[in-house]
Amino acid sequence: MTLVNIKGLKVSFRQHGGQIDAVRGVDIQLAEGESLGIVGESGSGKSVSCLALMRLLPNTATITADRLELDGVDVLKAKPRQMSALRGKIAALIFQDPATAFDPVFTIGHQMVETIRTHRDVTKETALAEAEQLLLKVEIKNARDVLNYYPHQLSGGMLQRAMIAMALSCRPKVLIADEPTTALDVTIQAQILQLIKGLQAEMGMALIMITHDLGVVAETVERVVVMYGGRVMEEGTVDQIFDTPKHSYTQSLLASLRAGESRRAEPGTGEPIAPALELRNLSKVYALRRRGRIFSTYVDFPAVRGVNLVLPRNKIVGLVGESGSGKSTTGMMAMRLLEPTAGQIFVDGTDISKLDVTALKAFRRRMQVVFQDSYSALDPMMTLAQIIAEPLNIHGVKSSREQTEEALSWLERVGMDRSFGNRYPHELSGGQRQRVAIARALILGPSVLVADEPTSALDVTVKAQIIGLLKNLQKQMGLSMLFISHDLSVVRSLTDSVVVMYKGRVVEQAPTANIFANPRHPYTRSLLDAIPVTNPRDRRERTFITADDIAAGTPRLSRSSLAAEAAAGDIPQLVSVAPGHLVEAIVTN
Amino acid sequence: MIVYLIKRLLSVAVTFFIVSLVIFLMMHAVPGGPFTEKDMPLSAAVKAALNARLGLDQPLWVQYVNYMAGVLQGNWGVPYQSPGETVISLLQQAWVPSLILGGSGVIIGAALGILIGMAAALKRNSWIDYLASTLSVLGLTIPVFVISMLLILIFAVWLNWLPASGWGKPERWILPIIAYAAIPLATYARYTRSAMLDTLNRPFVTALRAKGLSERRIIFQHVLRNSAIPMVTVFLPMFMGTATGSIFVEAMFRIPGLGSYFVSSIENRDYPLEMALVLMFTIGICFAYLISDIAYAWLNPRIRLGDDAK
Repeated sequence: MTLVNIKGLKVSFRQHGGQIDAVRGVDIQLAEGESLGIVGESGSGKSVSCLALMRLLPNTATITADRLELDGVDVLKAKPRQMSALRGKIAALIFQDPATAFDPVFTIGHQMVETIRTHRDVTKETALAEAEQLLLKVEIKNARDVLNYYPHQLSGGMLQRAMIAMALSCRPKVLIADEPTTALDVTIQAQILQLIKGLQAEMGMALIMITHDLGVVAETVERVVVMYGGRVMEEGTVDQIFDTPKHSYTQSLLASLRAGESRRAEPGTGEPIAPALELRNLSKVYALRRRGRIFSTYVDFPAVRGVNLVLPRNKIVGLVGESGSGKSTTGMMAMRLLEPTAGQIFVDGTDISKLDVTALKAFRRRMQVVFQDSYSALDPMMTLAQIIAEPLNIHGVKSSREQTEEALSWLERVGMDRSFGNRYPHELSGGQRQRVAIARALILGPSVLVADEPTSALDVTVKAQIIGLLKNLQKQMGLSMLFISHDLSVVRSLTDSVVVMYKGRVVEQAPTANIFANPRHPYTRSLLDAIPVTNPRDRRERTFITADDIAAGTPRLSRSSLAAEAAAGDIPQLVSVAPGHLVEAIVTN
Repeated sequence: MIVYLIKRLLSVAVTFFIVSLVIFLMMHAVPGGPFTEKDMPLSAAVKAALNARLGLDQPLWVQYVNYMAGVLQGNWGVPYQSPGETVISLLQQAWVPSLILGGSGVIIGAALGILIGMAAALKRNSWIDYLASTLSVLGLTIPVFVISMLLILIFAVWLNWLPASGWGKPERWILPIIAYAAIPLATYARYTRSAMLDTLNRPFVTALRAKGLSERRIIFQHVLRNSAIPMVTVFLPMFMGTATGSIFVEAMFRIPGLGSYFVSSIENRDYPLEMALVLMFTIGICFAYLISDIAYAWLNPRIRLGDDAK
């Protein structure tokens, strides 16, 4: 039986200057127990279509459709009471950011019980017991404690599990997951996806997976709808979409997904030149406050512990790891935007870690940074020309007319029209803002660029464009780039070598092709294993390892197997296993 | 929590002493004294005798030390304007009308303000929203004494429905209560509206709808509770704030409350009464902030439990 029947759905939003057509004629059908992926970038209408089905759009939305049915009920004609009965009971929704999807002032238990008791006539105690069972089902081990936790006390991954548990509490016929893993780390993403897939099969419910990530689709669903600009571009089984994509938009999505897979190991040039940037034994220790009964005590928290890193000239080095691994802290310290607790930073052979503000200013011209969130990194009160020219202004380079002229020519270099010079940041899309941020970083002609997750807030195709732009500019200008990211597919296509960080330490580093072909450290392996597949046929059951497994799995290497000399000892150390390939290991005799 | 409370109480004590010192000095810095009269000047000898009896001839710091020593022992002195009573006994009578009128004014005003603000947020851009904005702008911009005069003019003089002033019978209370309610109503209508709109726009509200909760439950359980967090912080301080309003309201309606004594004590250089009133308000405002901070923490689990509970 058809569970979801959408025909000719149109949604438009009333706005100041008129109306915006978000969905322009969409047909989607879903049978019971079926899994469907809706793929598209932000603004494609994929989320809006599903919110329209649940009638969850704001009052400014106008919805028309030939058919808009959920479990046989005409959603457009349903009364509020009927709608409430459908929501949560027939169709349950999980959201992109679990941290904002829970009411912050009530406990997880309270919110789950509330959901259960809304739809079923059970006592509070029964509902609470059921909630605990559900939390166990989504693999939360300390379920009883979690019931009494407030949302802010749980990590993103745990919260998303709790959200899923809550969504399942009334055994819905269809689970609609709206970008459920976008806000999560790649290893957590893989766990959540596997969990959703498993529960879907076990409970026999239908699944709609809304995502911008074809990898997520390849992992989870049977049928795919590709949306663009409020219309369905293409529809088919997941194999058809991946093997024989008909629409050029789908093809471009696939191309950006698979970029980097074709890269093979390149023979190293081996020529040692003074590196553009070198970090020696760099550490950062934060004092964490622990509340005591009477006095607070401070505990040292080492965010970065003795990191050594070499960024050769004209190369791109990827710095990867999950959130909290210390990769961004390392990047900020390399720029002296954050004071290191210990260690040295060499830029073009000069130690800048002890320089004072005036001496540092000269070096600031050579090192620039691009941030993840381009919106908050651009002053909203300045025009684009002013923003891009500001570094010239700060360093007192050229007259103001020449500064503006150069800023405009940089707009063109990053692929934008000169006429944008008078616009303000809020008028731009995310990709355009990132282009402006790149222009601002490069206008002084730096030799080192630190890019901190520059593409993680962007859509797939835009991401590919920005990566292409960075690549070209790097070649043209002979830039050396430290590319900080948790997105391994981007790292694979862009970087020359990769440094993997885990809990503040470097655990492995090697040329990019080597690390993807032959990862040696267990953490690197788990990171690589978590990357969504790029072909639905590669789907597999994954096993996830814990922090204890990683600690226990530290490689034990005999001295004779090393490529360079190292002393034997029980403490893990970074040793060379092949030319250019370092891994943290325990060395035995 | 206990440490926090002790810290806060200590800071109240420090504030108390600083304010007492500043007010004491300012009070004596104003030219003139309790017995300076233009129309019927006292002879120099009588004045000197009176000053000596009240200790006003001693150096200022001695006066301050004596006064504070008395205060700490619970002896707030004798008001110059009615030497037959103590400051304490005078205030005991005076706070009753102020509390009854001011208190009911704030509570009625806040309650109405919250209702109007809620209605305005839920029916955004409707007539009730516009009415709420108009009311809050008027309430916040028109001074209390103008409101009081208008009330007297309309309801007492023109319509002759209610008595213009005085204290005692309940019908005399109505106009002052309305005057007292104006500012809390305006403030709360504005505050509630923006706090509710803020909460309504947060993603978890959509998530609650998606769970199938009724709109009523979403509004009264979730949205109101979340909006209350910023709102509690203004309530008690505003309550104490009406003390300032009471000066005008009680003067306009001739009510024998704290506000009117405030005015007369300043006019007559009645040092002990003036000090007592200022210090009372100081303590009141300090505790108002303390209590609202505790209420804020209690309502907000993030503060109550701290972020490091992970």
